[in-house]
Amino acid sequence: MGRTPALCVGQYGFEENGIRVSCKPKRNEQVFAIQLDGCLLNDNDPKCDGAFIWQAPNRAALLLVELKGAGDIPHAFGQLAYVKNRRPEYQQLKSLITTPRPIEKAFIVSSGVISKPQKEKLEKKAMLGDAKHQILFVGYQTSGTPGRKIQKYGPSGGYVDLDGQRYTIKAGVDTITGYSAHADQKDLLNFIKRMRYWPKQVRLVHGQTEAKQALKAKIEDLYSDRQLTVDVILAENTA
Amino acid sequence: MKLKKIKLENFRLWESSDLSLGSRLTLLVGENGAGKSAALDAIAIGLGEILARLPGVTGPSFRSRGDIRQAGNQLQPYTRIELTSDNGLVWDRIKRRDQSKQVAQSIGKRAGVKDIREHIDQSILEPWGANLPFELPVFVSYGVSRAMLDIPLRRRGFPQEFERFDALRNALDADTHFKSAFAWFYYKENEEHRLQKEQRSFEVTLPELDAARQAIASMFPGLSNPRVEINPLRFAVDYQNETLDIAQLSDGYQTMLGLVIDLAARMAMANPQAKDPLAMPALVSIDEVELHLHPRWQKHVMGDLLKTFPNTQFVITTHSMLVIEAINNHLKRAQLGNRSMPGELATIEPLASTDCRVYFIEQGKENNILDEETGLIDNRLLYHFNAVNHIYEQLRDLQWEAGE
Repeated sequence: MGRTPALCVGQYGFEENGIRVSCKPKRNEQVFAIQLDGCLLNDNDPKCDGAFIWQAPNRAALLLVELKGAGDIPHAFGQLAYVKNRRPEYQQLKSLITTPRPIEKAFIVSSGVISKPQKEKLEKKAMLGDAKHQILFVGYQTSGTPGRKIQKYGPSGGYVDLDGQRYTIKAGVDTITGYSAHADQKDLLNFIKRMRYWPKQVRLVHGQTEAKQALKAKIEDLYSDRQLTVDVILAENTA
Repeated sequence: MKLKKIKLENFRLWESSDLSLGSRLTLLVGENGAGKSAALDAIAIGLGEILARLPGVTGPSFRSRGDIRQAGNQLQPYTRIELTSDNGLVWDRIKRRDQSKQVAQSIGKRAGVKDIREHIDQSILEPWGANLPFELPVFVSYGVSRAMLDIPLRRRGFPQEFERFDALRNALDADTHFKSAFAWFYYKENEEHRLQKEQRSFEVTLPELDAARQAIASMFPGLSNPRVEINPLRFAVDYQNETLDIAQLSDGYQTMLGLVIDLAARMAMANPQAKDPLAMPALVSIDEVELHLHPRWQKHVMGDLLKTFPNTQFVITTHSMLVIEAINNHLKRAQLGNRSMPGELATIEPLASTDCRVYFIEQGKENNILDEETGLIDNRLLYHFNAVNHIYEQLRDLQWEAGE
């Protein structure tokens, strides 16, 4: 199936391969539909189909839109994240809005659905391009791994390829040394205990499944003793 | 007692699998003939050992043929089903191809049934014999034939009394159970009437019957005043100011009402002295939980069951992507902890992902589809929804290219 760029339909809508979206203004509202793909954006970097600027008397919104068929929803997340976080044109569109702090949202319009775990993972991965997030490496990353690329190129605004999708790293990237990667269970628990503010989320990324599960249980016990809650996430073993 | 694990060896399609079960919910999805119902049957056969130990009750065992896996036009030497309970009991049941020494040798070391029998003797039979209190766990299996309600037309053959062990009568046959639940309801209502006369008060009710009424009210907010009427004999409910016979209800209502009445009756029968019989431990398997249910009902059926029977371990099969997505909502609700929720969200029953297992079954092999990182179910049934839409989009493209 050839890729047909989205087209403006009417004054307030886009349409691609039979999928249509529009944003109709109510009284006292104004809407501009701006076609991005094939119009404002013509290079080969990731882009999404269009944007709406919605303007009410005291509120405004900049809404990115990607129209997708039922088969290819995962790519849309990366496309939207790229436009929002990487494209200067996005900032230009935003600067057209005079209302302070406009709402910024991105939409995928599709006749298909993806599973909830996949959706959450894609949403999380797309956050990599969000300047609000900070990535902290505790020590060395083996060469050739995505971790090494993020560690090496992140601070200078580079990119990383994850699952065939290129992500520009806008999150802050730092590395701290001095924490041995070879602490035992007690050391790791003490590491949390000594913090002034305990983390809300702990990710156990390395180790045998049983060991990770045991440590997860210990961490949860530790928190429940203090009547705190924690979200301990076990990463799947990739080794 | 809850089940922690089931191990299948050479059982029908299943070659060798270890399925760990969720303490609240185990969900099996997969295409027709993948081995879902076989897994439910295997649990029933394993639990059949417990039923067979109880007086007046029989439990299912292996069929005379068809249970031993066939590979390369050859029957395997034996099939084994091994169950592990949450209190650490392990037992297994075996069916041999033949009585040869060779087959016996191929089996190797087995758990046997000594421990489970001892446990039943100590925890149930001995206190029962000595008139001491004991807890009777309920095990019930609902197969797809439950859709055919065996509604009795006359009272002939209704039992004259019910004992606690009757709670498990035919419970694992996966067949329709409505007739016995009907008879129990009738019997208990008579007992209640006598009690009311004796005490000259209509306020007196039987706790067991109240439990069953409570279950019906919780599962079917629109139905009220469930009762048995005679002349003609019927199970009646009130629905929007109408009195309806259960036979008049739609298939969806009949199927689900039959299941709930039966399950509630069994739980009340098993532990009539309990403060809340519906909250006593039970294991319930339901094949195709969405059977005859409209999508609107598919969205809340699992939540209703989990809420109405709060200590029951459910083992469920489904072909409904709505049932799965609804369970995702229960899982998500649990992730949010004990915070207060607005509106409709407050009614969503939390389900911890640690209490839940979800398997996609393919050719008698299980794949875990409860994603570890997100704690949500990777709903494979959505692929088919997308495939249907994809075809539509391709057709639509052709129409567009032709300029129509």
